[in-house]
Amino acid sequence: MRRMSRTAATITAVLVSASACQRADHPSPGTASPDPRIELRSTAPDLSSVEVVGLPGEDLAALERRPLAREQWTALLRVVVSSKTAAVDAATADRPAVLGSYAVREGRLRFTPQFPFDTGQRYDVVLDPSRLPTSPTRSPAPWHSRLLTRSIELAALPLQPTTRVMAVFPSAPEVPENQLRLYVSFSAPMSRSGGARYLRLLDQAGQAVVDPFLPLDVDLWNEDQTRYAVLFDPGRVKRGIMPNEQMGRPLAAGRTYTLVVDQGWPDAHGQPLAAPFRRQFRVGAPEEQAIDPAAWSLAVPHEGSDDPLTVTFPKPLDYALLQRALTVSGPGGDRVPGDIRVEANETRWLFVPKVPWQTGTYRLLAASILEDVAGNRIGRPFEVENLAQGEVKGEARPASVAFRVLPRGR
Amino acid sequence: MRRTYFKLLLVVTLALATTGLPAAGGADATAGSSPTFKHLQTLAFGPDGVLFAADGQEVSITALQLAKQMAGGVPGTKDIAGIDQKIAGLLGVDAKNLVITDMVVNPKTRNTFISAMRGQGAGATPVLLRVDGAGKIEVISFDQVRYSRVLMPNPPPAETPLVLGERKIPVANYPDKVDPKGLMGVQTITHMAFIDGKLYVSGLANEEFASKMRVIPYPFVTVSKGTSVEIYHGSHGQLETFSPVFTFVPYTIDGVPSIVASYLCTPLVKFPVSAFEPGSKVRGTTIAEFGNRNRPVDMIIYKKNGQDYILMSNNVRGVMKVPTQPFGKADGINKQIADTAGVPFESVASMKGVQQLDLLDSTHAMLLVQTAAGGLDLKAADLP
Repeated sequence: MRRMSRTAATITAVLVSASACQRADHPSPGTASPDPRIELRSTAPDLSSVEVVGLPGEDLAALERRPLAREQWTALLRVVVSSKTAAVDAATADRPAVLGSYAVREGRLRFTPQFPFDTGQRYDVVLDPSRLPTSPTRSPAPWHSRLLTRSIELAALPLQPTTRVMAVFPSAPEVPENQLRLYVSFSAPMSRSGGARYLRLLDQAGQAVVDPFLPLDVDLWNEDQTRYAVLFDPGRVKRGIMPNEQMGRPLAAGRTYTLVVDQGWPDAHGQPLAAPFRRQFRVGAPEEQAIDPAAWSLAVPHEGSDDPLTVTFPKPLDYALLQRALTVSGPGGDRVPGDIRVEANETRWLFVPKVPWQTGTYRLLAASILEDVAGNRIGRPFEVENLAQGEVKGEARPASVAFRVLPRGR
Repeated sequence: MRRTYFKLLLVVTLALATTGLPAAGGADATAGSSPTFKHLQTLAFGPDGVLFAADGQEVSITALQLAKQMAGGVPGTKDIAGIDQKIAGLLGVDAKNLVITDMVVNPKTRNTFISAMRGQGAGATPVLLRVDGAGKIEVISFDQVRYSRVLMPNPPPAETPLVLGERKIPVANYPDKVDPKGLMGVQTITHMAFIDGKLYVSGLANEEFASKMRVIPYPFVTVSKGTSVEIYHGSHGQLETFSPVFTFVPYTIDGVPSIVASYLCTPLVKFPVSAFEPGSKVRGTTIAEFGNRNRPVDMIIYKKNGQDYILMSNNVRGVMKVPTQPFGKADGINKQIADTAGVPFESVASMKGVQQLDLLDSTHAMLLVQTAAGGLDLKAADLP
């Protein structure tokens, strides 16, 4: 990301304070010209240097003949990371000089940082002409008595907050009180910083629900960092184990809650969200039945069509698992390539094949990991297991639903 | 209360694995000069002039020949307040774009070596620094540095599950996907220690028993397959195999050369060194549980008033001091426990915000301490 923004960077020097700062003991600046000046030289985003232009030839020659030690170089020409609180010329001596090499090139004194200047980072540059080699022997020109200062910055393209929360899943206005997880979907990739601090769940009085989510700082992102998963604490969701008995479920049937996504959640470019996000939902009775594929209804297109296969479920299923736990195999048994859409509050799954449907028997395959929003699987409701004993009463299983694609007109 | 019930949920088995013969290709050592790194993750001093540096992204370990770079500084390490600002200033970045990944003290010179990433994301640059007794901070250039390197065979996938009851939560392993301030941390390579001519390396691999302890003879020739080691994690009430050892030290317990290791949420475990036979699987003895929601960071052994102690830093629960005397006879923890259990320990109230810890000398620890203002101080502290 940083490399991209660098490549896209417009290289500009931001002139903050190009004028000289007079020393108190040399009140007259005079009018000598041309005075030396500090410039940012940039041949490529990663190849930038600071140059002092217009130094006397005898100084440059002396510096070339007899290079200085690092401490002497940094006393002559000092580049520091800019401080928000200190003035350009003040306190640069207290801040570490940026590591780099000094050289005389093309009639200029050049400082090249050991690590490329960062885009969007301001640097303060101070030249102390009194440290020039010939300074003690010359009748000082007026500029010789002044610190020459300048702030430089490799400006990145100006960034605007553009990333938005696109959706929250489950998307139904009512969820079961034993809902196990939710997903926040963004319009663009997000940063790696943890999401927990940017999410709040409010009850209907507007008070934050205490510890509704799994207390684990594990960030559960999809591959391109656009969908974030939040787990309700399964210890509180599952009946009969200690947290549930002590604290009850985080969501209570009959009540209304609001999920709040703070605007400060940084996206992959470090920008906040374009807007805060709130989503209100009601909570209904718990969903405690296993998924039953026999209850699904299939609308099957005809041969030659590339219309979607439409599968309708009697209850919403988990949004993320619907993207990968349902597949279609063709008459030859191979997986059919196609695109998936999830609609109707996750009660409808549509599959558009890359090539038109052929006459024959296809299969809709559901992996055993498929869950509804409360963690119930095919043949295995969430509540059957006895976690404390490590006991498993029923294994979740995959399912296969055959359907026939018929010739047109049948 | 949160900690109490959280324990009930996590049932994880941990396996350390030391490998047998390498799979064809990828595990033989290479050598050269001017090494490059993707992500400097963790450091350990080796034999004279050698510093081992692990690359958490490439999942490799590089033995750097740094005799020249280790010499020359003023012995010792001077305290430096705001060292993150100082280092960031030298590197030309804002301190918020600097991540310090490890800190170790050279046992010979007592200079402190720090690994860091300058910048974040794909464009970040690994940097190695030395702080000497005069407080001078130097960047150690890898230019012309001779090195040998081994890639860990069978590196872990992008994610390894954290097991929650029967559920598996995918946890990112590699630095490019890990929040440096998060609970979990980088899991590819977590810790190294050089013991009697061999480098011990903890981390994960792409195997059913993901957690590994590799024992790599130095000079590097090849990396063998590992010994799988699992432990019973009392506060999670289960066996652990997916989560790595996060830190460990060699220590002889009642005459038995051992490794004392710690894991996430936070069991203390002992393994006899003799158990790390290539291809075998061992179960460590869990001798303490130090509480949940916590990742151990560093461990040191020291002696005070004739007693040996382990000092362990954690990312949440502060620094803990553990007398080692009861380790030999300690009963293994084999059933679910409440918050903490096992051998006694005390929290060191004087050490707050410790992010990195190493032994400076026989009476001092070197600490990297997060201040209330959010900066980092490098400072020596009396061993408690």
